[in-house]
Amino acid sequence: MMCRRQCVLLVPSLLRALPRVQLAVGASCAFGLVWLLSAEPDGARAVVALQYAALALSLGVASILEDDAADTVAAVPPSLLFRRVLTIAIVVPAFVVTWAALMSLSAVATSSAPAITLQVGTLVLVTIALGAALTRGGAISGPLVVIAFLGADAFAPDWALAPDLGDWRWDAIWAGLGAGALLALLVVSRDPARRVPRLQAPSREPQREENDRNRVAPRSSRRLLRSRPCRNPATVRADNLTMPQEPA
Amino acid sequence: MSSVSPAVAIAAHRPARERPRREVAALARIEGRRLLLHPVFLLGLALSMLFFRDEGNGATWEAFVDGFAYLPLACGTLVAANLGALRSRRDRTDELYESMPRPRSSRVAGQLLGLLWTLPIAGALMAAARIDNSFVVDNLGVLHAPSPGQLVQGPLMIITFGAIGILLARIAPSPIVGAVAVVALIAARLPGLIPAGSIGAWLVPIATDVFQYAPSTPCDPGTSSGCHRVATSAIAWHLSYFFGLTLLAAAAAMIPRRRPLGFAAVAALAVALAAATRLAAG
Repeated sequence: MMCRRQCVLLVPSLLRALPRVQLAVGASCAFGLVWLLSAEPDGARAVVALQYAALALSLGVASILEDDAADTVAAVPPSLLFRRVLTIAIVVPAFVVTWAALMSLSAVATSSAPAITLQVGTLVLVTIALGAALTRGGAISGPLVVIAFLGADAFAPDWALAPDLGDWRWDAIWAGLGAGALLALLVVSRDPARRVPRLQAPSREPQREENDRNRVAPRSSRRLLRSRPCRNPATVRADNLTMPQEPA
Repeated sequence: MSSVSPAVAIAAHRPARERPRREVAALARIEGRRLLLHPVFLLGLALSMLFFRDEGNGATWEAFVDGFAYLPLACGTLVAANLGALRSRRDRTDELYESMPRPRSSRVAGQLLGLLWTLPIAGALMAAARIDNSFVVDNLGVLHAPSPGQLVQGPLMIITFGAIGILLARIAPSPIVGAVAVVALIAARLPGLIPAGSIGAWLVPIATDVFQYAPSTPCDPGTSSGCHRVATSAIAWHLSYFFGLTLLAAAAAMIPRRRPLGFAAVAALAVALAAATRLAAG
């Protein structure tokens, strides 16, 4: 119940905070690339077109977790993980619709569709996780993923470019990469104000607490401690002064 | 007794009207260092260094002479320069910089001059590739003699990409634009999208295709060595286009805001440059 109430309150704010221009630019570039690259009637380049569209979409979603007011909202009751999951949940439906439209536009073969979808999911997860891990990482994570993917395209085209559904290694690599990115995203989304376990040896703690308990305060401090707790010590000293009595 | 203060001549100091050499040089040092330490630039450098996987056939040297091996580094430079030019916008210090005595063009000039810091790295990569494949000339004889244009085009491509990145930050100040430009440039190289030899292929600032399809002649026609020298006419004109494009991008990036006529003039010059060099190259 509490969670639902927080969702209702947070969703409009998160919608306003989303980088809508970047999302729109990424989706527009994805549609443009698919339209340009998959123009051939036999659909030979549909897979490549979808991969470039996936890169454009990754660039668009790179900074959805960036929050200019992160320091301010760090102390609000909903945790960082909750807010980030909510943000991703807001973006996911639009992303799914966009990707489905891109796949229908590219007319990719049905056999290649799951592999490409796995790849775009992994690319987006890696981009978001990298953007969440780095300080202001949204600007860096997208280009890093793009250049790394294009480099893998040049040096290991068998695994980056040509999805082969019969080859289990391709699926295993991209699924493993996606799982690792999801784990990394969960790790970096832990609440910064979480309770951190102490690294001191536990055997010394009872002794220290006992010493604190038995520590004897100096005499002047004891007198001050007996006075009212929130008063300034200087005021206490002034109150204790005895003024000379006027003779009657 | 009256005391009168002596007249003190106050000379108005107008630093904006002085030649900003020292400030620009200092900014170029800082921007160049930040550019070389940028993660995207370092990733591009690492990918360019992956071309050092020689299989004994001179492939490394060929990749660097053709310019293809410089492509990841150039893409990293474009993105890093773009993000560097957008730093003040990201940090919301634009208004603070406007209160400085120097104009905005000084900062842009510093960023543009900072691109020159990539030259030693590009030269070192070329030298390392030459040393790595030096034995190929003696054993197999397949290593052709590079023309000066082939030696220059890789480092020039890096600087051109960097200038384009800074110009993009001026035109469309969004961090996504540089990376989208990289995707578009790489997609433009896909076979069949832009026909080889067309004006579209000439406009793309990547020289690899021009170098690969340029005619070559044997170094010594009397012998049967595999040494070939690439014909330099088309390459020279394409390099001229590169160089002019870099200068025009730098000029457009330094034009003050609200000067659409200046932008229009630079765009017209760029179109004229592309057409003239394409026609001259035949």
